[in-house]
Amino acid sequence: MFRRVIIVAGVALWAAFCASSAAADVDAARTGSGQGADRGSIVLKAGKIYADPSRIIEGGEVLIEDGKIVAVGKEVTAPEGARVIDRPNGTVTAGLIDANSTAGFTRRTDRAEHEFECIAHLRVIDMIDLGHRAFERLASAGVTTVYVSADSASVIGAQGAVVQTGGPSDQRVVREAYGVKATIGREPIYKGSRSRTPRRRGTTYLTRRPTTRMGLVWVFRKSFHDAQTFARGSKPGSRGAGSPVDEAIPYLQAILRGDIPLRIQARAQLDILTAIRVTDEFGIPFVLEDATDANRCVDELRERKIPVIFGPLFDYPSGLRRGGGEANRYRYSTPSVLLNAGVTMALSANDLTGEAALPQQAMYAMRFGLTRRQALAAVTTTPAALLEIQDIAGSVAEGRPANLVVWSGEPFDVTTRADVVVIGGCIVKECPARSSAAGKKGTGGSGDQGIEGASDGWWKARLRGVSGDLDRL
Amino acid sequence: MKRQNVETSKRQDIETSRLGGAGVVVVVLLGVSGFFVAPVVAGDVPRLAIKAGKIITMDDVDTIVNNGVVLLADGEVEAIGKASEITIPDGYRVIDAEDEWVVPGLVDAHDHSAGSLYDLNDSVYLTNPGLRTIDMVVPRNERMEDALAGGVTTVLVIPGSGTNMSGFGTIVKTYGNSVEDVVIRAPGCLKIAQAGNPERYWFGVGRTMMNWNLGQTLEKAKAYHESWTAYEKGETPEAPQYDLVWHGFRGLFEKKYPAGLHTQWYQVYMMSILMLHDRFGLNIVTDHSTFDSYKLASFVKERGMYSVVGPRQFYLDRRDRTINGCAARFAEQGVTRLGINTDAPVVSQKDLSYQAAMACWLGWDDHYAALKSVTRIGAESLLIIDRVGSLEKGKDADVGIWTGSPIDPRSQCKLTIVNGRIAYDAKVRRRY
Repeated sequence: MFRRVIIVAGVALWAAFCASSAAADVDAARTGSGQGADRGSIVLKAGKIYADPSRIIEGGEVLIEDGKIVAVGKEVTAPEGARVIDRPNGTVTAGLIDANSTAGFTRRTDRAEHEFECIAHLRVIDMIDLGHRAFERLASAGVTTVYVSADSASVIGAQGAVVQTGGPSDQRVVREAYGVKATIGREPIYKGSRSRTPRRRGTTYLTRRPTTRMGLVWVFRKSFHDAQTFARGSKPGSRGAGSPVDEAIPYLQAILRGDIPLRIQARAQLDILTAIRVTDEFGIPFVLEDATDANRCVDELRERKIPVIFGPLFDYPSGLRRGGGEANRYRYSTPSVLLNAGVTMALSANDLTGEAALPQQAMYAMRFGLTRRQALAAVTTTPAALLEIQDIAGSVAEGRPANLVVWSGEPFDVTTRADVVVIGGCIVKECPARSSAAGKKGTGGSGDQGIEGASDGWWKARLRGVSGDLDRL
Repeated sequence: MKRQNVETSKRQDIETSRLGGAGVVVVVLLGVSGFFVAPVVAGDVPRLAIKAGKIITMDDVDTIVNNGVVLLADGEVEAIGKASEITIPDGYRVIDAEDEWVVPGLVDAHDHSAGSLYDLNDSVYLTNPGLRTIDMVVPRNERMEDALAGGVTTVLVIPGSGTNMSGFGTIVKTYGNSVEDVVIRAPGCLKIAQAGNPERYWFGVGRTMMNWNLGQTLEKAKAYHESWTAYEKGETPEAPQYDLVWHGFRGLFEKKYPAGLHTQWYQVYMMSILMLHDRFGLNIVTDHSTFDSYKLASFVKERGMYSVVGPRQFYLDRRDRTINGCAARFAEQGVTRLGINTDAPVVSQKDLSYQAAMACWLGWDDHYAALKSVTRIGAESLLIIDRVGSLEKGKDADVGIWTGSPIDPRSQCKLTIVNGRIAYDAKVRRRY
């Protein structure tokens, strides 16, 4: 009896908690990342406007009305009551686009359907949590649009989606389904819950292929072979190991026709070359994701005109990247090597959000060889073109949805941050203006105590922590 | 050592000519080595001229040249001959090996280490038609540095022996920038594993089931091949349907590449030969061939098959209380198509010559044949003798420069050339 009371009370508490958090989620969605539902007229004034990487307007203004960019130029006529944001030291660029993101991925088990290895008929949009904190962090860093690519747990994964990281909730989804992601490498083996070799006994018929790269490539080839055979009006001679489910076949055929773009995640050189080999076999063009070793297959990528969504750049790979051994020959200079060779390249931060997100990737790419214009193109116009959204995103021009970032200085400088972020005409982030970029100690608020003071405080806090621990012992 | 007169001779006693040479070279095998991978130099292939104390050409008449010159150009052997007969043209980089032996790059017909070791066995099914190692070849990996330090220039990368039919192998060079650079032929072979591993699959998988299952799979492949052959001969009007599962097997039945067999022990060895050679008419290379397989030497000899022995080199016969050198026992029964392997990384790829040396120590008297086993025989068994395995005009410029006979454990490989490029130079960066 007593136990039952406890259970009932527990369920009631849980329900109340869910209700309250759901209400909070709704609020957050309505206001667009929980900030600024203001969609009135806005005038952005800045020292420099990067309309697109090749067109810079010195001392320009942008007028935003009804969520759209209405005018861009030296001077715009602002309507009555327009909100004016004036940052004479700042710059304006289009909102950044990450063409290979994992933002909004929910629980690990939800990321991919583990029932089949080929799930081209399923859609990532049904799984993305648009209220996920990753979106807020991305928006705050200046990334306004992301392509959420399917998880790498499947050989041929689901269809990705293009979404906004904030802004009006009815405009968050830009493309419900765009592209299918396949993975060549060890990740479908590590991540696929049916493919992992059990620890205590070897692989058997209770495990599912692929358990090796050889098996993975077989699943890939067999899937497209079967789809191709059905498309020719006949039945494959054998349906068995590696065959795709019937539901996926129309989508595979659409990939073969070129109606659905194929994206392949491959990191190590051998995997990139394998991706080229197997797509050559079926004549499928594709976009290469991740591509850590791309600098070792530059000739092949250039000859076949394979676009690369490169990244992230890192000091040392972490997580599966590290364990898989697929990313142990990383190099900071790869973006500039690719661009100089004439390979189309967009930068991506992939699962990195917040400070480590796209602006920092562009910053590193610049440090190791890219010009600012190249870096800007790699995070705006190039990914927009690769996602076929170049008409609505990637540059600052009249008639487009107002996805803009006002930077505190030149974009991608180490000291520059995203001061104002506008998505779909909503101001989703607005930092107070810094009076001067340099020459003044502190930037207001807690920074006033200066570096020495902060350092001192840090040490004291640290010491207190240690002695506290000792006391407890 | 007093240098011998310039001469071109048939087979010589190659062991004696280097005795008392530059001194005993102690090869210290350091386990620790840097993770440095020498970059493949881009651009044109250099032209090289090697002044050699002794050239073992391994050609079909067993030519050996003392005090000779080898010219390498455009990745191929341009000329071989006596130093007195060949003048080194201008523009050739001269490599002075007047106290050394010049030997063809070694060939290992059984290797896994040129691929990703995690991806060897896809053991969900007992037979795996369609899998292929070309998808997991890792060019310029750390283990290939070992191969180069051991003078090994060509290897057959095959899948593991976890299943009866584990996929198609790939023949690769040990030096090159990308997969397409290193591949000589894909498929290099079909890997078939008879007993001695696949039965560890799980409960209830025994040799009876395995052999029946393997036979069934090959029957299907053969039927597919025959339907295409009939169409190509004009016997049937309609082309059979292309099937990805079986199409790769056509080359096997056309004998464009062999079936590489993981097979060992008397009974298993016998059944492998009866089934795959006699019943299916395949070109088979019996890999391993260890334990008491040598009892079937007459089988191998009658059928003119190639047998590649290793990595185990001896068999302890408990009943007879004898230790038998496997290669020696094959050889003494008249088997001449006898190769030696390492099964790298079971035995490191650098030890291929040492495997042959061990076969000699265990009773194989013919040292020249032992050297042949890791050069010409390996290439012949894989049907790539037109490219590698011997030093002849027009063949790939794959050369090892050794301080003496490679079959002498005191000898070391000082310089390895692959496709005309210097891939390993102990003077520049010694690995061991």
